Amino acid sequence: MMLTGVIPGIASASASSKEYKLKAAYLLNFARFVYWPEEAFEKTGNNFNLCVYGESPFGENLDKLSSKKILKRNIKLSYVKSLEESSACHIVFICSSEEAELENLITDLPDRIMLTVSDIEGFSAGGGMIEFVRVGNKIKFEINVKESTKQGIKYRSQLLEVAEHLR
Amino acid sequence: MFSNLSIKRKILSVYVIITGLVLAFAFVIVTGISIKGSKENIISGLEVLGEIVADRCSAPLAFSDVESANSNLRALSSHDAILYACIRTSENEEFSDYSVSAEAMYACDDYSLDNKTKLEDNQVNIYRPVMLEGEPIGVLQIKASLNELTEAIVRSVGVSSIVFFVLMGMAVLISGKIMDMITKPIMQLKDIAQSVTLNQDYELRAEKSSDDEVGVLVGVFNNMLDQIQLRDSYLLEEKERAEMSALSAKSYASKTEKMNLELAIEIKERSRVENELHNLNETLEDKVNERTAELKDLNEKIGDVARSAGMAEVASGVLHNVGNVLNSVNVSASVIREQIRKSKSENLSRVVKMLDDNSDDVAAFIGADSKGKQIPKFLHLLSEQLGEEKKILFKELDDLANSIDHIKNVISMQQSYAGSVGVMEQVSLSGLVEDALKINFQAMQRHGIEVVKKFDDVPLVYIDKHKLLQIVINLISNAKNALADAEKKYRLENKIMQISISSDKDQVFIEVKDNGIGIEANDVQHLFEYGFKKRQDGHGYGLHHSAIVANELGGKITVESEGPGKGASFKVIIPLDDKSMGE
Repeated sequence: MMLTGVIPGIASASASSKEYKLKAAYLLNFARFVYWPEEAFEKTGNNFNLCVYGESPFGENLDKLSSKKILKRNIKLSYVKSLEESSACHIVFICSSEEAELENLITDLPDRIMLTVSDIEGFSAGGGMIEFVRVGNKIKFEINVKESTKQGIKYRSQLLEVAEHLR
Repeated sequence: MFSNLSIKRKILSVYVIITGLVLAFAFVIVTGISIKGSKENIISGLEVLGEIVADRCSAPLAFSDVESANSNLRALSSHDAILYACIRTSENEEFSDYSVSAEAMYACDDYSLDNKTKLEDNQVNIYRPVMLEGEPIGVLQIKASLNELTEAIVRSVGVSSIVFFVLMGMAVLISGKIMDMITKPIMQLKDIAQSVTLNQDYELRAEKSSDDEVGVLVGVFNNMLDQIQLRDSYLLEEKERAEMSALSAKSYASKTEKMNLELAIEIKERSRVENELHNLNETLEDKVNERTAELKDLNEKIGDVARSAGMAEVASGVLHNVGNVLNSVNVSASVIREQIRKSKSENLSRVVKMLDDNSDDVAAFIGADSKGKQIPKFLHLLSEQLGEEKKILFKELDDLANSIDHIKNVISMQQSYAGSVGVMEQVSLSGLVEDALKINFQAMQRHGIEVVKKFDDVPLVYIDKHKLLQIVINLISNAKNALADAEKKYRLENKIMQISISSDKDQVFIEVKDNGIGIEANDVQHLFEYGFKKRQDGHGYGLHHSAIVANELGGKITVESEGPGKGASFKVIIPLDDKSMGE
């Protein structure tokens, strides 16, 4: 049986690149399994704002994908350095460079419908919404449904079914 | 074969065949529709399942979650028909698969969005794209067996067959019952008819149970039986009567036998009597012959008498005429005698005496005497008177001479006819008719009868002229009498007798027609009978004799009259024979 998304156990440059290529694709797919209310796009027009907070591990992987569309909207990729900048984001990927500030970050996030994703360990347990986890040599994810619901994010059941862990 | 079946079986056969055909047709249609429906149901069920599974697999495919995808495909195992399922990514990589058995080797078809549903052999392949936000990210393929469909078909056909036979059985049972209802009256009728034919029992009647055609048939049949029974009883009666007749005939026969015996005896007796009678007959025959001879004589005498009567008719006509002429002679003689008696010649004697007395001086006497002076004048007158007398006497004497001449003519004519009795000669009919008229001339004149003659040129007739004359005289005499009677009865003034002679190819006609008293229709048929007479002074055998004579001449007399007062026409018809000749 052939498997996609197989990552070698040792992190190499190419392996890392492949990992983030996958995660970039997943990031976009998450958006597709979320019920976005109309108000989420009130101020963003026809754009879907994808933000990367911190030092981006994606390389060019995300840029390659930005030509695609999500929910028939153009993807606008932003690399933000501050919470203020992230005020218009629909998805914010918090890079592992921000691990130290995570707790504050989460609490200080702007009060708007925004999907937060990160591969920082304990992200979902710490109030984040979707956290990439590694199971064996596969990239999986955990979803904090409770926190997401609190923030106005609802997931399609298919997404919840493939999640590694729900909380 | 079929034609020998009973009506019930025939109808039943037709019914069963039609029902069978209808049912079979219905089942073929229903089964066809059912199979098609089953197939569509199975396929559409699989398609829906494919849709659901493809949808369920979008997230596993999006997030490369093979386990979830496998788990989703395994869920298809609940469907018995599904043999295999797989998912290929849009990059044509096999992502996940499921097989109902480990042994079975199935291949996952290449990625393509063109495939939807493909039927092959007893399998169906259903392809459904796995969509993510309107974009295909993979294709789900489900391979299913259609054995279920085959089973459904088999089941359907089986059920249909069972239902078919059950329905057919019911149809046969029900139609049998109905057929019984329909055919029962007919069968009963048949049984009755057979029974009637076999047992000759015409008292049987079929029971009428309905008003349909069979009911009508039963009615007609019963009616027929009524009539047959009626005739039968009539025949029976006749038969009994015939038997009675036969019995009585038998008794009659024995009686007859007895009578025959008696008759035989009687015949013997009669035969004896007959012999005697025969002897008597012979003498009788002699007597009859004798009498016949006498009668023949008598007949001849009667013929002679009739002939004499005919001649007497002519003679009587002649005598009558002569009598009339003699009357004229008598009158003329009387006139002459009277004339002579009254003659003025006496006066001449007186003058002569006067002159004698005065003979001495005649001159003086004539010149001086008063009487003498009258003498010359007297003599003159006397001479005139004597001249007159002479004229009258001459005239009377002429008449007398004429009359005597006429008598002479008539008598000589009668003699000429009398002399010709029984002699056949060529006769001119016009001459003969003229002679007949002459004989009656005086009488005609006396009654003021105008005679009109219309004589055609006809051939001379070879005939006994005396006999023909008798007939013509008789007819003229009768016509004259008829006219005289009409004058008395109807004051007829214009009395006309028309006498015509005519002919055709074979015969000549002498017709005597008058406008006199006429004949009643009833009398016409009796006219020629002996003794028939209408006039007081008639003798009743004139026409009878004429008819006999005409018959002797080979001819006949016909008569026509329009009735009393309308005149009559008698026609003598005489055939022309070889000896008659044209004039």
